Amino acid sequence: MSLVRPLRSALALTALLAALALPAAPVDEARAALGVGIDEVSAALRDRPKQDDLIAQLDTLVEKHFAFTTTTRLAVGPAWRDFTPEQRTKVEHLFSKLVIRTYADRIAGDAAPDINYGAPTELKAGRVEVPTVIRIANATYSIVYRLELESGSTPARWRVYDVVAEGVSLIANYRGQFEPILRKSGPGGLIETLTAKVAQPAAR
Amino acid sequence: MHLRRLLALTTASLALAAALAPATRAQVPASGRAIDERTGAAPDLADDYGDYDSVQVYDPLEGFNRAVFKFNDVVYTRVLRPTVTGYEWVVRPPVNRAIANFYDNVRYPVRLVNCLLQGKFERAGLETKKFAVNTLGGLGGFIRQSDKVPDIAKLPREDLGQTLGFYGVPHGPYLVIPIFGGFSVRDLGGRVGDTVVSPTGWEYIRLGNHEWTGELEWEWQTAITVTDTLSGLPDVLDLYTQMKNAAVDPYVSLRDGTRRYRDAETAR
Repeated sequence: MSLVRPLRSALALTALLAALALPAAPVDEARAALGVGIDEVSAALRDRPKQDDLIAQLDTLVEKHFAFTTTTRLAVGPAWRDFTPEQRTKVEHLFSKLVIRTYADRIAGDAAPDINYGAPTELKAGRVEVPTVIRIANATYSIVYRLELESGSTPARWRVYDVVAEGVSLIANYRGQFEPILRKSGPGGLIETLTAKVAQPAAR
Repeated sequence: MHLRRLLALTTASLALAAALAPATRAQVPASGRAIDERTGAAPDLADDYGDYDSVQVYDPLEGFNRAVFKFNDVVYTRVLRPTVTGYEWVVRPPVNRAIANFYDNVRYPVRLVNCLLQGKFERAGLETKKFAVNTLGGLGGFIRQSDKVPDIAKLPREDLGQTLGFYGVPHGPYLVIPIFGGFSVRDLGGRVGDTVVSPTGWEYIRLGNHEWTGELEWEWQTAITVTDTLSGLPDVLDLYTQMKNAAVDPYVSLRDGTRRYRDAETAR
């Protein structure tokens, strides 16, 4: 009797320690990283900054939470192999500028969204998909985030590389637009088109 | 009479869609170079490009479609945008939301019929529950009470275009029509067919009232169609502007984007 109780608590303690020592599953890590990213963007929006300040803030947050090199590479497609390192940097810079501007336009002034996270799934090693249902004002959207594990990062760093809104993937939609341009006028043509697009003010 | 004409029209457009369905296009093989001597770029060993591909929309009338797209853009930005701004000044967004909710609720027969046509009986039941909740609990459909009920908060909306997709009818060519925008021939046929059961459809109002209350005055028909369209317009135009701002080629972005959206909808 007197021996059983300490033994039992020792067993319980061992089980607890084992649970703590177990590495978290990749899907849970990715899901947690996405939560942090969304919370930080929401916090930035809550202060209702001016458009230029918001874009500056989003720049830093995107740098932190988005694997934009992967996004750009996949949007360009296999033609990425024909880009010089300078062209790659240039395209990534212009493309991120365009996406951040669009995103800032879209979410500025919206009420705080209400987000429900679904069960994440592993697409392949180092790639996880997290489905969410987001309610803003009167509308409900289903948005899937795809995250990538940065190779060799300790602690593991998960960043978003694609956003699939109502079945429409950001990467796939740009791939379709980039393809004809690349076929017609190559990397230089794409850089030219993106430069012109970013210089052009957004329509209201 | 009207019903028969509409059905004939729908069938004809479907037959056209099936006849003009594209042959599967050959995929361009990815260049398999691992090391690039020409650009001096670091070897790109990534093999994940195949995770994505551009959707192949059969668009034999691209030249014509782009011209109509350009025309529509002028109509949207020069005519409809100012109209909506004026409309929103008179009808404030919360009121407009109620009107949009009302029309959406009233279109319940369209969703119900298409659930049944696809054999989705459980969802047909949920649609009916949603209609009852919003009509009885939401002041005749002006307040969307169903948002607070988990199992009916986000029901995928069924329509005839999706029903046809469910039974394997191909999209057919892409077509941009003035003002209404781009559709596949299949979805356009579905749209027209849906007006048969939609209480907001012109033909139905005439059909429905012919025998028992007499024909509805054309002023009323016009008023219904105009308020129905206007109530949905602010959201549609906002979406259009966002898409246009984001795109390097708005025509391709909208064409491919709506196709993916429709296919995702059909799969649900």
